[in-house]
Amino acid sequence: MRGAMSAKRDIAVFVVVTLAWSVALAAFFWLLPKVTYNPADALITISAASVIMAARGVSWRRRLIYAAVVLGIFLLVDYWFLSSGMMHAAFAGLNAGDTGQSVTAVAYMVFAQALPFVILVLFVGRDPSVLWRSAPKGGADEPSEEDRDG
Amino acid sequence: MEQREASKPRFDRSSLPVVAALFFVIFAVLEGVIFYFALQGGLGWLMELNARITASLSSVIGIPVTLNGIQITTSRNILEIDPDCTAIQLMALYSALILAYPIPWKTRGIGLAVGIPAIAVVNIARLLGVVVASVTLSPQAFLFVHDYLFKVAMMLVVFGLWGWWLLYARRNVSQA
Repeated sequence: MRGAMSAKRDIAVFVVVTLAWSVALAAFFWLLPKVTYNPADALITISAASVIMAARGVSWRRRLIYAAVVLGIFLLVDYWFLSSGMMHAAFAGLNAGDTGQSVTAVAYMVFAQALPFVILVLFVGRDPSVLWRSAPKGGADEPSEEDRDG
Repeated sequence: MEQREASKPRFDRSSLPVVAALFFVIFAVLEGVIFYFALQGGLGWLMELNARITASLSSVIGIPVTLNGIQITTSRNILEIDPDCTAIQLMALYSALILAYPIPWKTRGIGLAVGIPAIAVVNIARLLGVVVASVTLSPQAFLFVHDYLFKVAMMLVVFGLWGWWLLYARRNVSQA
């Protein structure tokens, strides 16, 4: 019973820290020039990066690497897609019913929405409790005993 | 013992890149199907259903609204339910995540049977929140709540459901 209470407290702490990180990352994105990314899709990346940064059972080094990867890839691809003019052409084509441009627009949306989850799948592994449980002393990057068994 | 090992579903660290790749492919297919139907007007019934439920619940909590198809008119503005408002893309994301894991179909089926209705219910709560925000907040604050706060909240709900299901699936796999 005590363990269950402790797990609930850990999850509550994780949720609060995740929300705090999402505010911090939203502020970071707010400071970026608005022409380099799509705000609506950036929110998915921000949410994923917040979860990654709040993961107590993972070392800071691993958290920073994964958060940097998801934010970096999103910003790079988004910047390229916007600055090349493909973003405007694709979404104008989507609204006008142009099949070729519609496919480009859908491909962009698949990328923007799926990327954060792809990174999260790799980050979380097979044990989501790494997100909220406290890091073990002396090596949070080590897989848990159950992971080794797996 | 050997027989038990052979029947044990494969769900370890080495399969994660495959899970990630499979998730991407499944989501791309689902997204393509959703867009095809959206462009053909095939999601109209879903938008109308969301609008009808939201309007009914708004009346229940004492906010008078007028429903006209997918338009909900409050005392201050007109809200229109579009395909994004139905959370169908979030359901596709969640479904692709569940389907990508190499574990028993029953476990995946339970994940879908619990998660998709949960996302639908939370989305209705979000739409109700949008209606409340539209009549109580300033236009700027309403836009912040609608465009930012609720979107992040919905993503976190999907992450939460996925985390719950992964724990559930892990228990099932380790008992298999």
